[in-house]
Order: sequence, then structure tokens, then C-alpha cells
Amino acid sequence: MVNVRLENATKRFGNIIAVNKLNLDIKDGEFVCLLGPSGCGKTTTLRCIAGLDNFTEGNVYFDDEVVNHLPPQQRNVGMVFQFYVVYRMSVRENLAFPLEIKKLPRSEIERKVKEIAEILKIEHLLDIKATKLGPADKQRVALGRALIKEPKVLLLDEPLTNLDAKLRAEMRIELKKLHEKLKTTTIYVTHDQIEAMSLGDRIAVMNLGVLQQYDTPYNLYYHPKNLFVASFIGSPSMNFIDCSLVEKIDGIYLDAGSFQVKLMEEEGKYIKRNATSSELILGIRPEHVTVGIKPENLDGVYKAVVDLVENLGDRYIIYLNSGGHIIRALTYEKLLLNPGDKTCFSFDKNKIHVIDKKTERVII
Amino acid sequence: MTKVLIKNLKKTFGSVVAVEDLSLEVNDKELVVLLGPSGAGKTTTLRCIAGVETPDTGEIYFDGELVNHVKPQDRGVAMVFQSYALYVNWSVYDNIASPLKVMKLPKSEIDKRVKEFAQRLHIEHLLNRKIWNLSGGEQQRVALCRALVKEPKILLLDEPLTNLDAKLRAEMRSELKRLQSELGQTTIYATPDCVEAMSIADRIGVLNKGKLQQYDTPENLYNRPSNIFVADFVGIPSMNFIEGDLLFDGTKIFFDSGEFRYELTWAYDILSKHQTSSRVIMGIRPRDVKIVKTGEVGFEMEVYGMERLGLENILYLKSGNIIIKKTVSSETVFQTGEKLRITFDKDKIYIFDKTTGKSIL
Repeated sequence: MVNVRLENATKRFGNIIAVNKLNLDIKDGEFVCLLGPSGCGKTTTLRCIAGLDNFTEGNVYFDDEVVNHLPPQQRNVGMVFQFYVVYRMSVRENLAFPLEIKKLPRSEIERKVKEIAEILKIEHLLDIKATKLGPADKQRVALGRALIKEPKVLLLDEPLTNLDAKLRAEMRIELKKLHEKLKTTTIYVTHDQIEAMSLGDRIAVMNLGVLQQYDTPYNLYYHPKNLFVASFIGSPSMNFIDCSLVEKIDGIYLDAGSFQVKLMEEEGKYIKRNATSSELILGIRPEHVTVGIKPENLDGVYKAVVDLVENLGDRYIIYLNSGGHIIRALTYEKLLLNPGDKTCFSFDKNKIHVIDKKTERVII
Repeated sequence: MTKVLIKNLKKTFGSVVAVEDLSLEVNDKELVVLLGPSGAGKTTTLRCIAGVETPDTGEIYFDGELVNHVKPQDRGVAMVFQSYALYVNWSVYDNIASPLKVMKLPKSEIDKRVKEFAQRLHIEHLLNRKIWNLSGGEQQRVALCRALVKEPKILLLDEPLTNLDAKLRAEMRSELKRLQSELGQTTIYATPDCVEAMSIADRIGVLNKGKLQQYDTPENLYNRPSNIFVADFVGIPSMNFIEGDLLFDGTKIFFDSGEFRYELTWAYDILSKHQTSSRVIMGIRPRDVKIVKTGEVGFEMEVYGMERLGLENILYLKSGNIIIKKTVSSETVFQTGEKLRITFDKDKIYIFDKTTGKSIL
């Protein structure tokens, strides 16, 4: 096992820059997710680490060794793809295959196959033809084949995408437990932020080839650095409301037109110092918007009309219209609200983000 | 706009029964979702309603009129597919106009309608663009626009959001719902995604292996699932299931998993009727598992793992071979191996018959 380091890694395809000056340090034994929408450069990055492709500029290090020019088989990485690649032979033969290529002694192969099958809970399937398995078991076999080589780095490219939602959730915790046990340095590519949040020790959020933020799941959720990260992480996603900074006699306000949020003095001054203009975006997660009046807090309660109510079983998303701004609120109680009803809302003020509209940087 | 009635629909492909004895009523202006895993029969049902597939037996009525023998193009149905099926080399305008040209409407009327619906779907600015240089979300809007422009009696949507990324899917979901209620468009929508179904449907028909499991409002499916399949399929994170026996001792009744016992005497009347098959499955949603203090009634479990999802964390608790999920707030953190005492919210417990899967409590 190794630590993996990317140094100014850039990949060009003709005029297109798929990955732009990426610096990333993945510690020995760490589970890192590369997260972003399609076209963000995550799969290209993974392929270049595997050696299936090479960066145009920059270096890939395994520990202190530059591996740029090593062919894939000499890098000793294990790779699993979105489409389960299993061979038309028994599970046992599938698992043994990478070791047979390495010409390991038979008894050694048998021991390792047994061991990995046990870890992946597929011992009972060893004599079944792999192509006859269900999707989750096929993926377990593919994972087993990648792991049996005892790779330095395990590279996973959207391995759960082709499973249905329920299986995906189950496999997620399985992968997590597996990593706890084996501690193989793992790089996992996904466009699904829930998957990344759940699995990653750290997550590298990418967009258009550029690293946006490299941080723990908690920090990405509660302290996003820019508009892209704030909007990409979290479901239902954060509300963004255009507003401007206004100074009045009694303090500094965020003015969204239909409502004004009074800021604490320190906060207001900090924003004023750090904003490039008065054009700002107020960001607030739906779970930090309260619908209705809390009697203890009448300050900062704003009027709105209910636009839509989405029922998600144990929770509801209420779409509020406040002077043309649509604001989503997440509640766990059933509120007797219907589209067209007049209501009011407030924000958990400690949870407000203020974003510079021009630079898209989060100020607070 | 139209009311749809499906009576005892059956469709087989060779020896495979795709849809079995399906009866379903869709009210005028209603949005009904057919929800189920792949192979449930959702798409086949849609295709029978559209008329592109002929049922083996059973009847389909639109507003009381039997349409089994009406040709697809005469049914007044529009269908949108997961793959959009757009003419990629044509402009957006020509794609949207194509069904109206088939209907031989006058040019001025076509132009009026194309523009009106393009505006509703926020794609006016794309009308001259070619399909191939649109994003997935834009293509989806064009496909939807082309279906709606015909002003169909019934709109059929087959996993229309599956190819979009998660964020866009959530946006399109609410937009679709708003549009559907604005237009009062009778709509039948097939999806394997329970969150999508819950959030947009007036009613949901849960299908599995060609059979209707339950047809109800999202709320009732979540709170009163009629069987274990529905209970398992609806809700994220999914319900916990624990197998065990019901033990009676004359005045009291317990659920016994082998690992723990839970008293259910308050439901004695209901449960005692099911004495014949005492092997049952207890269901409890991750939200309704409670942590209690040492000394209080409950049982001990060990923290097996934790997932941090931002909004909340999911805790995996283990005891013997039972694993239970519990949701906790994002600030609550436990370490693997920690011991916790838990109990269940008694009003939120479900009991299912092990053999039939039917809900008992």
C-alpha cells in the first residue's frame, strides 16, 4: 500500500483540457472520492493513475516514486468499473485468474481465493458461473479479482452505478466495512454525492477539470468554499437567493427584495470587507429554513406563498414563493399546507452562507 | 383530459408473465406513478395503454370507452421515453412541430402551439438549435414538449428522468409536477426510484413481478404498507427487518428474535388472531429506532459502522446476526465498537407474516 500524489497533473485532448493542474495527496490507507458531474475530469484522472492513459503534464507519485511512465501492469493497481467485467467461467476461476497470470503456486492461489471469497461473502458461489450471478454478486466478483492481487492502490470507477437504489445502499456499507478491514489506499470515482459523502475519508470535488475543494464530507457540507461545491453537495440542494448588501441606520442587511435579513454587526462588516461588490448570493440549506412562526423568534420572519409540497414519506419539501424567489424548506412534520396558502418562514441564522456573486466564493 | 380504467390486464411474452391481472383506475387530471424494480411490468403496462402492445386479456377504457382495438395514433396518447427518441439532426422547433405536422394542422396553428409550449418548458431560446448540441436536461425538456404539444388525453412517461444527473433530476421533478398540475394533464409515470415517485405522485401503484402490490397515496404507502415488499421498497434509508416469533403467554405477547424480546401486549387483539403462523418479520424504520439510557428498557447493540450523509448520519448497529440502521443527526458521532442501548417507537412497529409477506400490524 502506498500514498498517491498528483503534482500539477494536466491532461489535454486536443484543445480540450480535461484535467487542469490537479494537485492531490492521498494518504496510505485513505479512501478518497473524486466527485463531480460528467465531464469534470474524474474518470480521466483515475485512468491516468491506473496507467491506462497518461497526463500530458505533471507527475503521479506512488510514495516517492514517479510512476508516469510505468505501464499499468507494473503499477500494481486493482481496478473495478461501472460495468461488471466477469469472465464466462466459475467464480473460483475468475478470482484465480490474476494470480495464474502471475504464475503463483497452486496451493497459494487456492488459499487466497478462499480468503478473498470469505471477505466478500461469496464462498457459497465459488462454483457458479460468474455470468449467471445477479448484478451485486457480479460486482463482488469483480472487486474480488481486483483485490486478490493485493494491489497498492484500488481504483473504482462508479462501481455501484448499475445497481438499483436499494442494492446500492447495501453495497455502500459493505465497501466501507471492507476498506476498514483491508485498509487498501482507495480512489473512488462517482457523480453521486451521497455515495461520496458516505464512503470518502476525504472527497475531491471537481468541475470542468478543476479541483474545487478537497476536504472531509463534513466540511464540504457545512463549510463549502464556493458556489459549485455548495450546490453540488446535499440533497435536497441548498437554496440560493440573489441579494445585495445594504447599510441602514440600525445595521447591515442582506436585501433580497421581498425580504431582508439583518446580519450581526461583525458578520456584516466582514462581508463588506471581503466582497468584491454588493452583489451577493444568500445560501441556506432546506433543513435550515423553518416554515411557520416559532413563537420565541418573531424577528426575521418573512411572508411567502406555498408553491408546491413534495412528500418524501418521512419528510416534506415545501416550495415557498417569496416575491418570485423559490425557497425550499425541509420539514419532518406534516404541515397542513397546500399550494396557494399564505405562510411565513425564517432562517437558522447561524447556518446562512453568503457568496460573492462575481467570484462565486463563499464569504461566510 | 381523460380518466383511465384498466381491468384485469394480462400480458405475457412467451412463458414470461410481464403483467398479471392488473386493475387500476386513474382519475382525470391525476398523476399516477407505476413504481417497481426492473421486470415489474411498468413499461409493459404503459405500452399496453399506448396501444403499441396488445394485452392477452383484459380491458382498457378511456372515459368509459373501450380502446383495446383503437390504433395507437388514434388514442390521443403521448409517450416520453428514457432515451428521448428525438431526431438529433433536426432543430428543436422541427422536433416539437413533427407530431403536429402528422396531425396536418395549419402552419400558423403549429407555429402558435410550438411557441406556446416551448415557453412553458423554458426552451424558447433553443428553438433553432440542433438536438445534438443540447445538454441532457435540455433534450429531456424538448422530448416532454413534443409530447405535450399534441395536447394528449393521456401523457405516458417511461423513466423520463433516469438519464439526468441527481441534481437535475430533483429540479426536473418539481418542474414536471408543477407543469402537470397547471395543465391538468392526466399522467402515468413509470419509475424505479421511490423518492421520485413519492415526491410527484397523487397515487402510486407499486408493482413487482407483474403484480400490483398496493395502489395508494404516497403517505399511505409509507405509513401503512400492505406487505413486506412495499415496506421494503418505499422509504430511504429502507426499513429494518428482523425475523422472529410471536410468543403468547395468555395475557402478554412478545416478539422474540432470539437476540432480544420486545413486548407487544398493547396489540394483543390484532396479533392473537394470527396465532396460526407465529413466524413473523418485524419492521421498523431507521428513524423510529431510539437510543435509551443504561437501565431503561431496551437491548444492547454494538456500533458496526456509520455513514455521514451531510443532512444526517446513518448508524449501523449489530447484535448477533442482526444489523439495524438508525438515522441520527449530523452532529451525532459514534465510534465502531461502541455499545448502545436501543428500543423502538412502539407506534411505529410493523409486523408481517413470514410466509405470505402480508402486513399484520
